[in-house]
Amino acid sequence: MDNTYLIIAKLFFLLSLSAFGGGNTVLPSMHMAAVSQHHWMTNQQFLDLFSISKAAPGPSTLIVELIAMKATGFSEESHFLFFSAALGALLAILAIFLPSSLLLLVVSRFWEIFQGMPWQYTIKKALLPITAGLILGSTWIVAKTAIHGWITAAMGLISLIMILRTKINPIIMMLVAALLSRILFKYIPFSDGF
Amino acid sequence: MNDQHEERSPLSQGRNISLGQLAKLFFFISLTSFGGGATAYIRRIIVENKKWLTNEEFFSGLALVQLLPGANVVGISLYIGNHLRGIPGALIAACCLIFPASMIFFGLGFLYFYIGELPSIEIMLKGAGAVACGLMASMFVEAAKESLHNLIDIFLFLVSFLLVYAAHIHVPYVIFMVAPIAIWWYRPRASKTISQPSSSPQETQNNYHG
Repeated sequence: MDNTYLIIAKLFFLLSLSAFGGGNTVLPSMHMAAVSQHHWMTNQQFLDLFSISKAAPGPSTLIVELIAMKATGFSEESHFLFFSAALGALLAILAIFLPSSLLLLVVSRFWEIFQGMPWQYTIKKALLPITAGLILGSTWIVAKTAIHGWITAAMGLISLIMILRTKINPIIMMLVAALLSRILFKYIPFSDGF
Repeated sequence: MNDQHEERSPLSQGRNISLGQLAKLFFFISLTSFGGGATAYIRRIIVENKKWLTNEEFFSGLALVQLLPGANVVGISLYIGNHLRGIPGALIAACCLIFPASMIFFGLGFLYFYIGELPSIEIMLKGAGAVACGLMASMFVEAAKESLHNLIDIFLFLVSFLLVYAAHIHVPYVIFMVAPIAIWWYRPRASKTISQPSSSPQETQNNYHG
């Protein structure tokens, strides 16, 4: 078996268990491993994969699949190897999701067993305000990259109000906003900045 | 009805959910969730549209997920699946969330590496990103309603937010710094355990249902 598979399995296995606070926290380590350490891709390619993972549906942590595809199926010397790429992709998905998922399952089984006990109530009451703080923190971080200028600010605000007040599926709002921004940014000057 | 499920979710309507329904919904979520707002999107669908979980159940699950490593979207799906249908439910929810999307990733990866070009999606992403932001903000509004009941809650909330936002401290460190104080404050006390549940009717049911 090719060494690359082993490297991929080990890399993502370790990152799976160190991704405290979500998948985004280990992106810098992925970048370092894929670009400077193993030379699987250029810096620009990594950035492109990052924007693909943000634009594609599903968990953006699936960027590991793209990294593994490049490493196993599209190496510089050979042309495209479908099965190698598919195998690498599957391996990366299992390595990144399985360890953290098993840990979470064990913990949440205990969590359900202790349902109703005083200490479980304590922990729940204690963690909820912190969770609210963390959610606002990550909202702020998303806002810093997503909100540029008054058009996106207005879109964010309008969608917030619509989500709180109506039952419209956010996907419909996203599609409308995507089409709107395609039109607005093309025809309104200085729309991309305050 | 199965005793186990009755025990798990006293308030939500989630106890009659079949594995098939779970699979179908997470398959749908897999193909329609995008970027930063994915966890908020799941809350919107599971809590508000389907009413399979209450806000309280959802956010205590999210608290657990944030405490442990791994992608939040996958974690919350595992939690929801486990809460509704035990281990099989968790596995089905997570697999149906990951694998349909992974097919699309594979296709996009193939296009990118083989043809070497990205479709110009950047401008359209601007609008979608703004909506994702609104979605996240709406989750914050709901979380605040669910968790901020008194001054100490607001204090804990503000400290955690400022540690993440202003001091740029990583999430797990924030939890390990603030949680001990919070747990100490809410520790079971003889006088408090009696008075606490009556403060909120939801908690009363949840505490004594087992």
